[in-house]
Amino acid sequence: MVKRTGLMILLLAVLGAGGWYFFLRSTDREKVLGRLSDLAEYVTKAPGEKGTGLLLKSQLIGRLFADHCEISVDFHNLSGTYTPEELGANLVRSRQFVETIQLSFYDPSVRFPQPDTALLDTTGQVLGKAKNGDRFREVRELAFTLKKIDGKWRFTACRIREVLRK
Amino acid sequence: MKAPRKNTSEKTTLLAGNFLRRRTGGTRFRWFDFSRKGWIRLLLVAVAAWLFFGYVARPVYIDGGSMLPTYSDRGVNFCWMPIFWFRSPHRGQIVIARYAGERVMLLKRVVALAGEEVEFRDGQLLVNGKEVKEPYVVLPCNWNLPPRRVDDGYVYVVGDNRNMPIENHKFGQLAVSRIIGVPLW
Repeated sequence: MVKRTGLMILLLAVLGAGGWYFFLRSTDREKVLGRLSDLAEYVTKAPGEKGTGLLLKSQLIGRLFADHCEISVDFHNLSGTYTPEELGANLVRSRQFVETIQLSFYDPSVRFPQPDTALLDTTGQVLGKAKNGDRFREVRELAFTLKKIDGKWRFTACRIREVLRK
Repeated sequence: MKAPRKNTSEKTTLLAGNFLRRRTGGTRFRWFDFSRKGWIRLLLVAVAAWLFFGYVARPVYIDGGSMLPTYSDRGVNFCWMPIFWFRSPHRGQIVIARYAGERVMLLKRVVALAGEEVEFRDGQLLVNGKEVKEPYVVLPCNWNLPPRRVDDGYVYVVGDNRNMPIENHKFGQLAVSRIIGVPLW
């Protein structure tokens, strides 16, 4: 009887662990999408955001990127290869010119050409208000490349995919 | 003599039916029929709505004034998708095109097709060197753009509101594969 109870408990434990593994573990896809939502959160500046929050975000944003991240965008001469520290400093600098800024991503799709590489396509929208009161809104199609470095997904490249070519 | 008892599920159905029953002009009206037939009907309506609003006429909200005065900012419309199931866009047609997905889209007018040459001279649109009459462009425009040829598989799209510096207006060659429909009205 005792043996049967022990077996039942063991079976339940195995089933529970299996269920946890299959249903609750986050897949690579979810982790990559999580990095994208982190990026949106760290770039976003809410009205009345405190300096400490900005400092924290500028440090956290650096953790999302690899040692060298290649950025190819068509505005404000931002294209180039950056270190995480430079990206954090750029974030602080660019926030000085805006009252509010909100970055949102829509329709993300992830592909894994190799187990340690992810290609992420999405539509990015930046909404904001400049210090002089001007409101701005930019929409771009973005293509990110992420690499799994030390078990964590990090952005290694970001480029704007041209939808309209003048 | 006692009346025969109704079973529980039938009783529940009747109670719910009575609760939702309304009198309209002397005729009885039920909001929902809780019978099997009613559920099947509801399922069919839901599937039909999902197909219609997802693949035939997708609701869209117009955010931005690049198509003024044809389409005002903050307008509501539907993206009519069957129009391009069997044919390609033509010049003068207003089209809706997607970005990476279909949650954020572009609303523009096709002004030139593949192989044609587009140019703006003092605000006047020229296609293959000939002036194009554009009655829909009401606001003043002074754009200048050197001639360029539209690639195969692309169309040239511009908004109707050109009353802004050319750098601030989003326009240009757009892949035909990105076009998903036209506004319904």
